[in-house]
Amino acid sequence: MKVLVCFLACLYALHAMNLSGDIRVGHGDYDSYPTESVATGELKVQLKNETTQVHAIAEFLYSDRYEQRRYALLRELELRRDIGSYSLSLGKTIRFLGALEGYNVTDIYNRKNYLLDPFSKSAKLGTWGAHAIVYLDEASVSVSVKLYEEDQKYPTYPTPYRFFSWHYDESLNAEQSRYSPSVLGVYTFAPTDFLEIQAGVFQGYDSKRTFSFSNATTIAQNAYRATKALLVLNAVFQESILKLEAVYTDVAKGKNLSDYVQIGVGAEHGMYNIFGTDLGMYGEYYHYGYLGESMKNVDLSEIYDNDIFLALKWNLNDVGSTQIKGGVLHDIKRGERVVRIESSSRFFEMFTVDAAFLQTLAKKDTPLHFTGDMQRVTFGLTYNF
Amino acid sequence: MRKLIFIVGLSAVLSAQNTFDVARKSFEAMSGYKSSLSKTTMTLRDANGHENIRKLEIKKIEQSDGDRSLITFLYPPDIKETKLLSIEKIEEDDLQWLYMPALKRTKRIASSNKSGSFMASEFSYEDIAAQNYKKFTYQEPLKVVANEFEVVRFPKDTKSGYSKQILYIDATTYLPRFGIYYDKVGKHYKEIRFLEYKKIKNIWRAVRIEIKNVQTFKSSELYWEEDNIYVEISADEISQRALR
Repeated sequence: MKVLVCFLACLYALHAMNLSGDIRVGHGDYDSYPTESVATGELKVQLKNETTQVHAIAEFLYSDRYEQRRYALLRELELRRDIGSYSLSLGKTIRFLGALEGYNVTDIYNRKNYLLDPFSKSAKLGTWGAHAIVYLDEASVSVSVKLYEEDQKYPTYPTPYRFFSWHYDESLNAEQSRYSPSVLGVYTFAPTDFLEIQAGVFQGYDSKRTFSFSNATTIAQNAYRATKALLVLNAVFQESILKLEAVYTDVAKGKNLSDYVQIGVGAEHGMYNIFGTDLGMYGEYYHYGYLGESMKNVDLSEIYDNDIFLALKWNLNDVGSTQIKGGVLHDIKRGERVVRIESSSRFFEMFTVDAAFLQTLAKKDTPLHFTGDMQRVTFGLTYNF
Repeated sequence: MRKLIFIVGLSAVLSAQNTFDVARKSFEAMSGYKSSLSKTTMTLRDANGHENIRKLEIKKIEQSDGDRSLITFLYPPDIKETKLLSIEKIEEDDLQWLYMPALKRTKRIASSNKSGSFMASEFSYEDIAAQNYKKFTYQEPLKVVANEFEVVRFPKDTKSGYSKQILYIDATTYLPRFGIYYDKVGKHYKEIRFLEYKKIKNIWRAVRIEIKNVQTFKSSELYWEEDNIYVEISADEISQRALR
């Protein structure tokens, strides 16, 4: 109620209002689960004047077949004020950290929205907290404070997006109070025109989670506290962009978890005007290293342990801005593979059509094996406004 | 007789100039606006005449070593609030960043995309950038055809999508009227028409530009619906801090 009153007060104080969003109806065809029809959508309300901005984004998902894939939530609600070289914001927000295209090991601030799509980069949940940035000449310093750890929903059996075959108790087991703050500080600078560096530290609840049985058939999620150091590099080298993401995580003793490192390196190269079309090529490698004896394979992030990601993005440059993307994630150690091909095109300005194919070739009893259906085809129609 | 003397005199004046001078004067005729805030509509047409619309807001600051610009996509709705920040460099590679609102992500773009399509149109990134005369070398001597200068220029940047451009520039106003662009292998590639200009605060501004790909028969038109110059825009407003 307080949130609503605050939002309405902001509506009154600010004048320029902007409404936007989309509604998508789609269909999913799965090889070992019944098909489903889904409706998804989001509504964004934005109000701003010269120094202050409020925006709220609500989203919903409705599956005609799978009850677990039904929700409506407030993804973001942010009040931002810019004062000179400072920018302060408060509320439920999403932050992005990273440079790579396939998987971002440094994108640790928000939880993923596993109900929507565990393999989508944009499927994230807002986090309650405060955020401040100070802009210097060619650099910036930001501090983000998470003020609350929310419960995490997962689709469980019998949905094609399942993570577990057991019952899941979505009440989070937090090491300390859920209100114990988590702090992320990031220094961003560019020593030359062609090199950008983000260096950060984090202290708080780890983005990686563990699971334990609360009874014989039910598991629950555990959030533990950790300290992280992270680095993101972006370098323009001739006609390519080279990228590095690295995180070192220090886990306190006594949790059956060792410290660990995650590294991602990659390169991106574009070829333009090939019969009027443009082609982007991406090659990336991810490594997950345990620095000691540890429970393993407890989180989806661990599937990126020794993997190569190769992808192409083809822009046809037609009036519908048709785009075709295809990528393969190949696990060198286990021989597992995820193949994804997707395409989208716009028509009548306000509508887009999309189609996607996902195939997971997983070995038995691996984290990837728990991610659900092995082959799926989806397509949909979106109205954008 | 007087008319004949005038034409002969004018021809003598025109032919006394070289191509480089004409290119510089042409650039200067549209320079000096310091900063601008514009709203434009871009119409894309395919070979069958199907049309699609894009709307953009463009903020620019004029700088001697290369302009800074921030393009915010306004329409269609699925790309609304996507932003492109460009810092042009005359003798070096430009710097570019793309902000994707759905991911809250700012992504660095390599300047090799110069020849790539801008928003799936027939305009490439280098077509919409400032046409600074220092970016080209020129063919001399200058040709004068029916009160228009024929300026033949060659991009210095090896990443350009063009090998040669021929521009026809009005001999009175020094404004480009028509251009023929050749691809990297020297084939006739695009034709550009500067259909309308207007003077704002004594500076010429393009109002309507059409570009046609003669190889695919697709075309695109840029129309400036609103255009304001000498606008109060700070460098911070066209920097990475604007990408959110």
